[in-house]
Amino acid sequence: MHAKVHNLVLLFIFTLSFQLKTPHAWGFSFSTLQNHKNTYILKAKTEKLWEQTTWVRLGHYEKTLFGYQSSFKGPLFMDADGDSSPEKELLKTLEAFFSESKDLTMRYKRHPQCQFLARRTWLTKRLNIAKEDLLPCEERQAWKAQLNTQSISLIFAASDLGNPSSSYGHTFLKLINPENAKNKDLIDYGINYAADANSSEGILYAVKGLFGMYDGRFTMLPYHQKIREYINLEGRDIWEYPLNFSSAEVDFLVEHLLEMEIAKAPYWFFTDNCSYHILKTLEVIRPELDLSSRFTKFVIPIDTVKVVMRESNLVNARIFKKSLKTDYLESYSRLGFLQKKALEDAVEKLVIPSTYELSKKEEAEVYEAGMKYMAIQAYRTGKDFDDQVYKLSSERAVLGQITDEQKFNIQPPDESHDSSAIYLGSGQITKSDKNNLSSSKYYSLKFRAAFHDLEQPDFGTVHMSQTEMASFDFRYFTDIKKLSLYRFTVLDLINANPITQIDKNLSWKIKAAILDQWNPEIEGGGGMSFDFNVGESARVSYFITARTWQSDTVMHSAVGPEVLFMIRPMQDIGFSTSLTYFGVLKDEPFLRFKSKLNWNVAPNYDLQVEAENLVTGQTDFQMRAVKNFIF
Amino acid sequence: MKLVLVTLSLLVSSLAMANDAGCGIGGMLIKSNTKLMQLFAVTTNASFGSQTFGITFGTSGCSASGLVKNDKQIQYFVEVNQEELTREMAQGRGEKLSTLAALNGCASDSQINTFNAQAQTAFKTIVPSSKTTAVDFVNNMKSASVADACKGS
Repeated sequence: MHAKVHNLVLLFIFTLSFQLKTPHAWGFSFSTLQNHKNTYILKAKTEKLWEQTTWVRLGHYEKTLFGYQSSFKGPLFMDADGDSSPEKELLKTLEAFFSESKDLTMRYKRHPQCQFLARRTWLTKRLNIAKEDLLPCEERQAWKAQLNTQSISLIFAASDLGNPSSSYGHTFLKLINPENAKNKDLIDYGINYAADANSSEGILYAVKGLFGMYDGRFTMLPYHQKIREYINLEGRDIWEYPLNFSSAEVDFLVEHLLEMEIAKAPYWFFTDNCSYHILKTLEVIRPELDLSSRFTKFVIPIDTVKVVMRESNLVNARIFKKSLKTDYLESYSRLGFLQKKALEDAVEKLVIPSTYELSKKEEAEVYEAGMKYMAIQAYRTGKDFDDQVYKLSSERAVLGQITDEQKFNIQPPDESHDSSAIYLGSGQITKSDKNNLSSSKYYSLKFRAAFHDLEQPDFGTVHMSQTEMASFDFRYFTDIKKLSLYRFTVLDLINANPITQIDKNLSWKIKAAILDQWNPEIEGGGGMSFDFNVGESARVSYFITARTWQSDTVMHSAVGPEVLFMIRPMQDIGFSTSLTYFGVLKDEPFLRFKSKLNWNVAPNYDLQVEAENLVTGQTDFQMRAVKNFIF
Repeated sequence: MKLVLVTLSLLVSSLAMANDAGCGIGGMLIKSNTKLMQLFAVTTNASFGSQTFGITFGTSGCSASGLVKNDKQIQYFVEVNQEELTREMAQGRGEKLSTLAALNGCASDSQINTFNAQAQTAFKTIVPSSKTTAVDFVNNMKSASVADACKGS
C-alpha cells in the first residue's frame, strides 16, 4: 500500500517535471545542452562575432562616437544594455537560446529561439550550432510556409499629381508568393514602416512627427489593401521594383521582419523615416549592400529608389500600377470635344442625353470617365456619391465589353533628376538711374537641398510645379570683393493645378526667404491655371499675389495680379516668365518681371539663364550650370 | 448611417445563413481626410493610423496572425475592393476584376476575359443596388454562376 502511494507520488512528480519541460524539450539532457552552449559562447567570444556586419545590422546599430547605438529600443533587445552593445546582446542571445528560463518565453510569448529566428539562422551558420540544439518553432514555420515568400519588390508610391508637397513619395516592400504570380499578385503582402500616429491630432501631428515623438514600427497588410489608400485616396501611382535576392536571402528577411515586429523606434519624418528603415532592412539580408550610408541628412524616398536602382544587378524590371486619378485623367484626355460636353451632363443628370448622338463606344467611354470622376469626388470631399457612381456604372454595364485598356506611356520616376543640386553661376546687376547706368558683376554658388525647379524636366514629379526647400545662394561681388549669403530660401512652392471642363482646381504658390542683411521676404498667392496645346506642354496661371519684405530696415507690403506663363517647347527645354503688378502702400507701384530658361543638357545636368528686376530700375541677369545629385 | 447599414446587414446575413458572415474589414478602413491632413501626410511620409497592426497581429473574421485564410480570400478581397470591383465590372475589364477571376479559378487570359464579360452581363444581379454588401456581392456572384465560369474547364 505504502509502496503504491510512493509510486503514485513518484509518477506525479515525474509527470509534473515532464510537463514543465515539454514546451521546449530538446530531447536530451540539460547538462549536454549547457556544455554545448558554453562551447558556442566560447567560439563567439574568440571570433568576436558581434563585430560582424550582419550582427550589427540585425540590431540596426549605428556607429556613434563612443561605440554603437540602435534607433530601436525595448523588446528587440534581451540584454538591458543591448541597444548600445552588440557584444552584450549577442552573448545574452546565446544564453537565452539555450536556457529553460520561463521569463523570456513569457515576455515574448514564445521561446527566444522562435522569437529571434534571423539571429538564430545566422548564429547557427557561424557557430555550427547542432541540429538537436534547435527548437522546431512549429507556429513560426507554419506561418512562414503559408506566406511562402520567395522574392520581394521595392514599392514606390509616387507623388499626388495635384500636390507638389507629396513629391517625396513613400516606399515599402512587397512579399511575393510565386503561387500568386498569375493575376493574383494583389493578394501578396506589403510590409510598411510607418509612424504609429494618430492623424486626428491635427497640427500637433506634424510637429510631433518632425521631432520624433511618434513610434515607428513595421506592419503588414495584404498588398491590395495597402496600395488602396495610395491609389484611391491620395491619387498616387505605384511603381514596383522586383529585387534580385535569392530565396534564402528572402527567407532571412522574413525571419528578420518577424523579429522586428516587436521593435519600435522614434519616427523622424525627414531622416529616420520609412525609406531609411526599408534600406536598412535590405542591408540586413546582404552584408555587401551599402545603401543607407549614401544619405547624410535627409532621406527622400525617390532618392532611395534611385540608390537601389544604381546598385548593380539588384533591380531588373519595373511594374506600373496607375492610381484612380491617373486612370481618370487618361480616360478624360482621350475624350473628344462632344464627349467632354456629354461628360459634364452625365455627372449631373447621371445619364447621357440622346441629343449628343454618340456611338455606343463613345458613350461607354464617357460613362467610364464619369464614374471615375465621381469616385474621386467622393474621396476628395468625403461625401457619399455611392448612388451616382452606381447609376453611371449600371448605364455603362449594359453597353458591354466595347472599350479597351489603353497602353499609357509614363516615364518612370526613378529616371527623374536627383533631388539636391549645386548651381555655379555668373551674373550682373544693372542699376539705371535717370542720369547714369552702373553695373556690378558677381559669381554665385547655390545649394538646393530639395527638390525641383519649375523649369526642369518634370516627369516623375508633379507636372509644371516647383518644390524648392532649403536652398542657400551665395554671391561674390567682384567690384567690392565681398562674399555673402545673398538669399536663403526656406521654401518656394508653386502648384499650378490646371482647370479642365469639369475640374475646378485651385492654383497656389508660397515662398519664404531671408535675403542679404537678414531681410525677410514672404510671398503667397492663389489663382487659376489653364493648359493649352503648344509644344510638349504649356500652361498659364493667374494669381493674386501678396508679398511682404524688408529693405533698409523698412517693411514693405504689396499686393497685385500676377501672370505666370510656362512652356516646354521640347523635352529638354523649359521656360517660364512672370509679370506681377505690385501696388505698394505709400509708395510707387512696382512691376516685377521674372524669367528663366532651363536646358537639360544631360541627365542631372542643366544650364539656366535667368533675369529678374529686383526693384524698379535694377535688373539681375545670371547664367548658371546645375548639377543635380543625391545629398 | 453607412456604418449602421453595414452592421445591420452583417447581422442579418449572419443570422440568415451559416454561410459567410464577412470579414469585418473592408473599404470602411479608409476614411476621407481633410485637405490639411492629406497635405501633412504626403509631406511627411507618414501613413494614416488605419494600418498600424503588427505583422502577425491582424485578426478578423477572415484572417489569423495577419494572414488571410485561404478559403476567405475572395470574401476579403471583395470587402476591401468592392467599389473598384463594381466600377471594373461595369467596364468589363480591369486589374482587380481579373484578380477576382483568378481567385475564382480562371487561369488563361481568355478564361479571365470570359469571367469579366459574364460579370459585366450579370452586373445588376451581382450588385442590385448601391447599398449591396460585400457578403451579398459574393453570394450573388455564386448564384449568378459567374463564380463558376472557370470551374471544371
